[in-house]
Amino acid sequence: MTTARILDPDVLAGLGGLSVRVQTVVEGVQAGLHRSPFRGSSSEFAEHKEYSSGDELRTIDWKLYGRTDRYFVKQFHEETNLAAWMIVDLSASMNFGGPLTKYDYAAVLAGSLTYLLAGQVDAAGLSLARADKPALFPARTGPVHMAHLIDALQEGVPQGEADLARATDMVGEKMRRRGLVYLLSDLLVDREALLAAINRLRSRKAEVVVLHVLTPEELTFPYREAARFADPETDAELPADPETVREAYTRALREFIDGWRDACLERGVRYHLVDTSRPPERVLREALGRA
Amino acid sequence: MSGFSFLNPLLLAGLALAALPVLIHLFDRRRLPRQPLPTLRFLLQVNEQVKRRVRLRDALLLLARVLVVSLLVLLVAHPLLRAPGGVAADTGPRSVLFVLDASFGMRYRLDGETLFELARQRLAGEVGQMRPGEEAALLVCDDQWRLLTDGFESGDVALRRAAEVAPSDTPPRWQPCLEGALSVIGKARNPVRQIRLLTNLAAVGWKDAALPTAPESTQVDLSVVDVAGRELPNHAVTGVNLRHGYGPVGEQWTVTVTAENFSTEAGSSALRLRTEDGAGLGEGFVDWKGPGAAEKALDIAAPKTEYAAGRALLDADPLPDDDERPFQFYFGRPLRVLVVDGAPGTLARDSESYFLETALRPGPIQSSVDPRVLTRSNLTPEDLKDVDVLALLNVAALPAETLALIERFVNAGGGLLLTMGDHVRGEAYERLAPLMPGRFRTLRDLRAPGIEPATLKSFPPRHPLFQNLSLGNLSSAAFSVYVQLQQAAADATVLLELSDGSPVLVERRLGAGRILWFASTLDAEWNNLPYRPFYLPLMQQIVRYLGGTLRAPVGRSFLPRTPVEISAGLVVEGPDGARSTVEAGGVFARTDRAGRYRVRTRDDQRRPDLDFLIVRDAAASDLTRVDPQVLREELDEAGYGGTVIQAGGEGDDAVDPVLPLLALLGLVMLGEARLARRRA
Repeated sequence: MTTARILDPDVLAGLGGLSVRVQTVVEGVQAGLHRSPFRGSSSEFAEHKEYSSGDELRTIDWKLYGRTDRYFVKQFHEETNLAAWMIVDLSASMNFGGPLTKYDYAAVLAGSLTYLLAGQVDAAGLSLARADKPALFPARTGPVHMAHLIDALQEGVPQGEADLARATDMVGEKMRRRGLVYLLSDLLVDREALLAAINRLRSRKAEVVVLHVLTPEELTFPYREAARFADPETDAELPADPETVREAYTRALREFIDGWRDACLERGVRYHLVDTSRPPERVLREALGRA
Repeated sequence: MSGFSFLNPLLLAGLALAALPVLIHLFDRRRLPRQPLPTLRFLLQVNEQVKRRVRLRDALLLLARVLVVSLLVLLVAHPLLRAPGGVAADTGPRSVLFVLDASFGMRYRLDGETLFELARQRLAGEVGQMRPGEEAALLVCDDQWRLLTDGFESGDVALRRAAEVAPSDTPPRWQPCLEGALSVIGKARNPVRQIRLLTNLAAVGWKDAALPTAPESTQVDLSVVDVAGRELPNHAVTGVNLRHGYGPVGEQWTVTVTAENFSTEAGSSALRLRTEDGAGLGEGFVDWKGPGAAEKALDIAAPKTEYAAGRALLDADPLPDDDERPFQFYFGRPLRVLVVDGAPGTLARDSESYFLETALRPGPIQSSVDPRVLTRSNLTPEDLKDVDVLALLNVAALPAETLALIERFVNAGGGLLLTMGDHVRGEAYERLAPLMPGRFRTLRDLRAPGIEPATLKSFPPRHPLFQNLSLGNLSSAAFSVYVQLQQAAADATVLLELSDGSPVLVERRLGAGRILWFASTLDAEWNNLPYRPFYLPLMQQIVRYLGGTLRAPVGRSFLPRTPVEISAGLVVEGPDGARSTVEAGGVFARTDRAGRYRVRTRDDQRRPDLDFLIVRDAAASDLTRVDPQVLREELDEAGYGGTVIQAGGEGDDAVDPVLPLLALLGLVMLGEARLARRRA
């Protein structure tokens, strides 16, 4: 059985618990990776630099001095662990789609990222954005923490509205150094507030990746029969004939997506449109820049 | 009185159906399934853009659908822009006697509806205009009249009764009907009394009719409503005659069909003869140069079955029921003939029996006679078993037992043909005496030179033996030798004589049987009869006469409603399949419908020989119309205050807006289809 077949969303939906799904996805991702996408702690040599006043004497390369009769100091990559955060939208709108809802799909992605980070002894943190105070799990390493995060993702129930901007701000406050933030949401939120929060995150030198999760139903509006279309968050309803409104709807949605893509580009944020009908393995590879 | 009225006002209740599209629209809205959609905000944005356009289109679509339903209901209700002339008088409450023409011609179809249906619609329209306090009665007329309501009742009752009747198979006769109408209207309660006669104006109903004079005591308004409003060209099969005969291929029937054209125009039609099962019997063509009857004779081979039935058909016209007419034959079972040759020759053709056998079963051609030849004369009871006719040809003296056997055979109903010859002499003749029609006188021989042979003289044409038989030139048959009788027996009948007055064919009854005595031979030895063209049919006819199965078309024909005599206890099956047992008294009276009536015994055995036909009077098919102006004058002369109202024409104030409504309906449906397509 090929990985691609295993990762088909239909198949994935039948796999049961999130933990199993995550492992399945990660196996698929690792099968396609040549090296770790993360920079971990290391003491790798980087380059030589001519000694200048103030440099530490212990960094002078004496062997090179013997050959060149000049003082050079060795420079190394900073020795540090990566702290990566996942902010997952837990609003009611994420409870849509099938066989995996948008939230299920985002949870698979977030869980898979957590799994990959743990494998490289990098710290992973999680924030579940809800209407009230978000559930925040600080960035830590270790398998126990990873299991804890996966449990939290599994137990998350999308409902009501979600304050994604607040969750983002809280992650920013918790970050002690530069970090990587994955924002998994359908972005059906207060756009201006969220963009402001991203700006603040960026000002802390955080690298931000937006995974914009939408279902094929939302993307293509494939309905044939007239229906009362209802917003699960606001309960607003609108009877409409799909044939009549499809063209205008898809045009408006395209503008919405393009707006977010442009806004992310302007802020140096990587943006990925995630179609929940696609295999999550491929989406992850694209998000990790290893497609 | 002017304004809108409807032929079927009750159907206007159907306008409630116009609410159907609205209800469906509302119901559909209410029942729309709920579909979650997180991105609803984009739908809300675009909805504002398209909502107005969609709402307008939906409203137009709804309006179009309501209009379609309403127009359909209006069309079914059949609106009239003005009331049919004079019905809704402005005077006091009326008593209206509706007289519905239920004669055969009302089955004529115009635009898919019979005139009778049109008359009923007209009746419904007029009943719909009756006001409270007014009353109606319904009289149905063809050649008789029947009051279908219990005196005067509400118009609705008259309508219901009208729905229960159908046109009959008889022509109209208005004089007795109008007399009946006057007696009924005399019992009306309201001072204003109207008779509305709904008819196709067929002139035959008014022919020789003296309109009963209107009563002087009360004013009766008699209006004749012409529901056809136009000429009604029609052709019909009005007669079928069958004649049995012999043609080049043996027995045949000549079917002579009378087809009448009741139109003023020339016309033509194919004519087909079909069996009861639809198989073709013959085809021809009928041509009319104008109104009148044309006769067409078609020869058809005689079927070999005992009973056969068929139909003569013309091309169907708007009155198809009279474009066909049934006919039927009954032949009886094949005849078994035992030929005893008293002087057989060495070669077959030298034998007398050869000539008779060949005449009875002429080679490959069709015959329903089955001859068998014996050359011995000592017959046994076994020989005569199942034999219908015994032919003794030139038989010498018969043994006494055989003679007694033959006497018993004839007495029991058998037929005997007795011919003379050189073997029948002295003792032989004496022995045959009990069977002979007279005493022997002499054997006359004219074969000497210079003597003219005797020839056949005329025959009694009314005798059943010679009916349907064409003998042509009888005098060409020359007899050289023949037996002369002293005197014919008292119970004997001479059927054929020779030119010298000698009987040559004599009939005698014996018990239940018949004997035919022939004074000469049936071969060419004593006469040239076998070489005459009529030899074959004469022999066949003689044998059938003796066997009691002379062919005559059965199917006694009667006009509708004629009581038919038939044995009590038999079962008669009408054209509609309904069976009735003939009551004691032996008369079957349920002969209303034209068609074939089949007879069975109580134990369901067919008796096709008793079948009979009920056929329409040709007058029933004559739809030539009476001149409305003449009729109007006659009504005036008889003292009626009414008129002749022609549907859609002179005298009818009603304007039929059906066509414009149809056009409007078409336009609205086109618009609806266009809007619906856009919506899709």
